Amino acid sequence: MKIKLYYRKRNFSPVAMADIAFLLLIFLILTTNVNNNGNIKLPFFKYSQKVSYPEKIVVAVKENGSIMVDNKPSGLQSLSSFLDSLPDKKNTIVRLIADRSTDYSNVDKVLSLLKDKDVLKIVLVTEEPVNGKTR
Amino acid sequence: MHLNIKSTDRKVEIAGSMTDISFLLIIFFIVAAVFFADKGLFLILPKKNEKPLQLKPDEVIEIKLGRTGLTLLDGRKVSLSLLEKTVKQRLSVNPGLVVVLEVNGGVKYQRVLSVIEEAKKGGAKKFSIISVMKKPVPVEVGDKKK
Repeated sequence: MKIKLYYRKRNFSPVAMADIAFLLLIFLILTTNVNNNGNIKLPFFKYSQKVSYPEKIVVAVKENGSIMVDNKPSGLQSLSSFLDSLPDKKNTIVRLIADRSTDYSNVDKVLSLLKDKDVLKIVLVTEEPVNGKTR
Repeated sequence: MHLNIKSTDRKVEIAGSMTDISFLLIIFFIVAAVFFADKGLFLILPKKNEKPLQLKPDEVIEIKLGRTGLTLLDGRKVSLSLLEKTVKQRLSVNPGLVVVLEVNGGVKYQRVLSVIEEAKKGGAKKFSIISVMKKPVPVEVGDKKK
């Protein structure tokens, strides 16, 4: 008996490949631990809350106490003049990213300066502990 | 002249893939919006010229954080694990108590947040943080030659 085999010609769609590549890209972005804060290790804190920002400044305090404003190296004096130039201080929210191992005095210096300049809304950026990993 | 126009279903194919892509983009933006949301402890600092609030000793829970790792609650040494229980006990008697944290400047930032976390676990809602900057006592090393 002769069996006839029919081969159906399948169409290869490059669009589907693009879809898959895009999905893979999303997956990789989400699974990679993105750290925008340089070498700063965020402190652990369980009761953190989400905050929306009308206008924000990012002030980072590294472990050695050095200060960065919006990812640029700065000092207390330049932070002070930067805060003076702010148009809307009342609605400005400062994201304070401080290293968990830095001395509290370094954080306090920044907080005192912000208070002096009437920038009163602050978010101490923290990290939620994973698998009971704290302190 | 007779033109032989062949109709193809290409239009339909493009429309289908566009839906896929737009759907993927929506998913991406939804996920990205959640992913980039910041979490933290929201503070409102007191105004510069605001008169400080006077509190009586029985209206506060005083926690002192020493540089050496010592935590004192109302003058008594307490471990971090016991802090929650003690704060809870004090708040059950007077729920309006304010936790006053007196922090030595040399204490690590994480420790300050850990103490706030424990106090929050115990039910504390109002906090006041005082930073104590103690200047190191000048110490002379070696004998002075006269």
